[in-house]
Amino acid sequence: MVFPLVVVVSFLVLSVVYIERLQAQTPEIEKGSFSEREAQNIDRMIMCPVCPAETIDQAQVQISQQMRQIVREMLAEGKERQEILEFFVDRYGQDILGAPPKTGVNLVAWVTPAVGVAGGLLAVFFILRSMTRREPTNGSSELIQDAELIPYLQLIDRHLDMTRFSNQVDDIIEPSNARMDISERKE
Amino acid sequence: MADLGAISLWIALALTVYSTVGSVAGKLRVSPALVESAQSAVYAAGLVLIVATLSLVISFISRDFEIAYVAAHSDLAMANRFTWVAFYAGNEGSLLYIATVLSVMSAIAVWRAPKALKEAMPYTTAVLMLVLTFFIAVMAMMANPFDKLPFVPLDGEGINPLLTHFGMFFHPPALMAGLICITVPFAFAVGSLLAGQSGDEWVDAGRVWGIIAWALLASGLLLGSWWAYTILGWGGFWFWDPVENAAFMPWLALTAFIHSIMVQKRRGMFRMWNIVLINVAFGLALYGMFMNRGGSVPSVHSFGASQLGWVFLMFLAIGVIVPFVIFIWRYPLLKSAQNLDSMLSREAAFLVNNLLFLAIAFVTLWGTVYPLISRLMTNEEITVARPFYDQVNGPLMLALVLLMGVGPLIPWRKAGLANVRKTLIPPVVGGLLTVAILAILGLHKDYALIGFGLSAFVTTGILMEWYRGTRSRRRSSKESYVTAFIRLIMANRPRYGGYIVHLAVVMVTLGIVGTSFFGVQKDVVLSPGQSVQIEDYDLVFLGTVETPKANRTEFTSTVQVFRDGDRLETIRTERAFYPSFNMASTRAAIRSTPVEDLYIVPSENLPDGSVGFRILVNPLIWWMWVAGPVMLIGTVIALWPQNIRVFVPAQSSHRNVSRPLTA
Repeated sequence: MVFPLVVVVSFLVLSVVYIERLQAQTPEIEKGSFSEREAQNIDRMIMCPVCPAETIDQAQVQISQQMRQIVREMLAEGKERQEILEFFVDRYGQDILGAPPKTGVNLVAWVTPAVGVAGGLLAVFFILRSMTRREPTNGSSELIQDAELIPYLQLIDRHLDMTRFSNQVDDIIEPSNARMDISERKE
Repeated sequence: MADLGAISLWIALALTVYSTVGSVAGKLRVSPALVESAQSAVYAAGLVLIVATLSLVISFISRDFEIAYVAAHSDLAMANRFTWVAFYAGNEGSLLYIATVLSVMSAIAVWRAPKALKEAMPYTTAVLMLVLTFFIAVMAMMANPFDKLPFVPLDGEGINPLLTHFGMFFHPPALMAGLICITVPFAFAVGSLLAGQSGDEWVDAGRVWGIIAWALLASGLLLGSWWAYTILGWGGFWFWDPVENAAFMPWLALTAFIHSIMVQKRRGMFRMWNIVLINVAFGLALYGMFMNRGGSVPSVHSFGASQLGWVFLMFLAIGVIVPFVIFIWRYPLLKSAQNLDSMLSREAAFLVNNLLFLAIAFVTLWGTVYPLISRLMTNEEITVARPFYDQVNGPLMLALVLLMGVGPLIPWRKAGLANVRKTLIPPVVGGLLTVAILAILGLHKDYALIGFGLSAFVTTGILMEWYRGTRSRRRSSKESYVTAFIRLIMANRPRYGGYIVHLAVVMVTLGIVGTSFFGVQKDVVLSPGQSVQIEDYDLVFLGTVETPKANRTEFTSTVQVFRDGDRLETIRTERAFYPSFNMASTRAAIRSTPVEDLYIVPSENLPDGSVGFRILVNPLIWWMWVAGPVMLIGTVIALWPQNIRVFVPAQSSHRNVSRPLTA
């Protein structure tokens, strides 16, 4: 019954798995040669130390060109992504990285959004449930079990909406269309 | 001119203060005359601010360097058409621009206010004028664009070269107008709360102004991306820069708002929630304007440090706390008129949509403030930039695309599970088929498969809806397919306009997925005559011509593009060096096709005549820029007033259909 929620949650889980897989796909490195794509991926994780909010991949200043060169030299020496990042952190400090590390206190940065989204989903679920279980304020809200009746009920809704906002109605469909809608769904 | 402008500002300030106080006093003392005169003051303030604007424009055109602002943002060499850009290039001018836009919008909002809001309008007017008063007061007292220099310099400092681009004519003004436009729906909401109206009266006006602000922000963001793509010279279009984020967050909140306001319009539900959303959007808009002026985070966009920061911060605090107090006070009025019939309904889907948009906004805000939090916790500097946002917001955005395909197919109130399953079959098949075909064709990037599959899913769903509607119209009225399709859209504009906007979002998704996962990039240094290969293109660098200009030196490099031995095109790309700014600006040469962009930008000119180039092949990004106009068309259709002619026959024949059921 919580179809949209289930879809969204399972999708979120799936995509998290997929990201992990993508990140795990470190290319195999032969001695002396390296993948330019991996080099660019690393470029995109390191901030340019002199320009605001730009990674060394984006920044056109000399220092970021030199840093890009260092990344490639280290890759050619057979260094791993993690070693290269640590090399720059040792020299420039933690804030040279574009994202907080996923360790220690800084795990908070990553966990908080996940907790927030999960909490939000829970809240939405309970709000929706309390809204459906509340005593109806007007007589019309008895739950209709017969799916066949739904198109007619929607038509009545539209009609009621029309009288409620008789000065401006814009979410109605034209009569011919409405009639056809019903006949079509009966088929 | 400087004096005229400065005097206008003070007159406008007096008018807005009068209007604020007058409308509240007039309402409380039940004096219609006072309320009416306060409203006239709104129009007058608009006129006076237009005078101030014009006097600054004239000062720019006559290069009146006695005015500090003109001297700082223009010079004799500047072409006159850049006056428009120079006008808002600095703090003072952009404030004047914002104030003028807000005053004109307020005048229109007050003038066109629906009759149902008569009781609330004095309060709404007061809110609008209070915000306007703030901006004018800041200008008049702290950042006056008409301040004079003690001497008249011979020439100005000139316009920032990064701003002399076509995109700059629209990107900043659209964003600033969009941010300030959020004040209008916010004022309608707060006004009706203060007047004690229960909720649904402000919905129509709030929705229309909300969508206008949304469209302005969306155009501004897209144009900004386009500007970054063509001029910043790294081949991408989105930074996750703090100021970009500051404009992005209110847009997210507004997107949630314009969806959930439909629920209130149709079903009388989510009354509290809509008030909360528009308050959040307004708070985020104020935050965005604060970030631009003396925010603590460095950015390519900010106007530089200024003492305005704390003033904006104070106003931000007031703008968040006071509406919250009003909300608590009027809380009992905001009960829903209806109950939710089922968890499987469009209403529920809208709520999940709201959650996802707010989640992205929250992640973005969290990333912006996390460096401060980390400094408090560990005393360690931490950066939160692109890698973080890509990883966290990416999945959330894909989830939204998924929901965009599901939500519109679920009916209001209560959906039969069987029915929904039936309507979902074609889109699901469409999406899976796309994934299967792409996988067979050898595409093995999971993320990209998801992105393309979802895009196909959403597109199929929308096309099916259009097809079904057109077919039933055609059967009943014997219209041709084209007429039936157009009449279908015209008969329910919010819905079908919304679908067109959804299609534009799919196009943006294609662009983002294409460039993020399939972009190829190369940095090379070429001397004249050398060539380089990228993908199936062969590029031959012919040479560079150096042209000294008054304020810059232009380097124009010519590159021939070959594919499979055929010459496709000879393209020129430009790099200009501005000695007075010690800054270079580049113009990328872009060969753009729906399949992929070939993007060439010179990053440095070496003394021996060789040039460092960055060359990219960016698949599908063309769709992203085309999405802009498509989105605007959808928005205009959604906003176009429903005409009465459609409505009257609809009602009469509806009655025929539903009378036996309601009886």
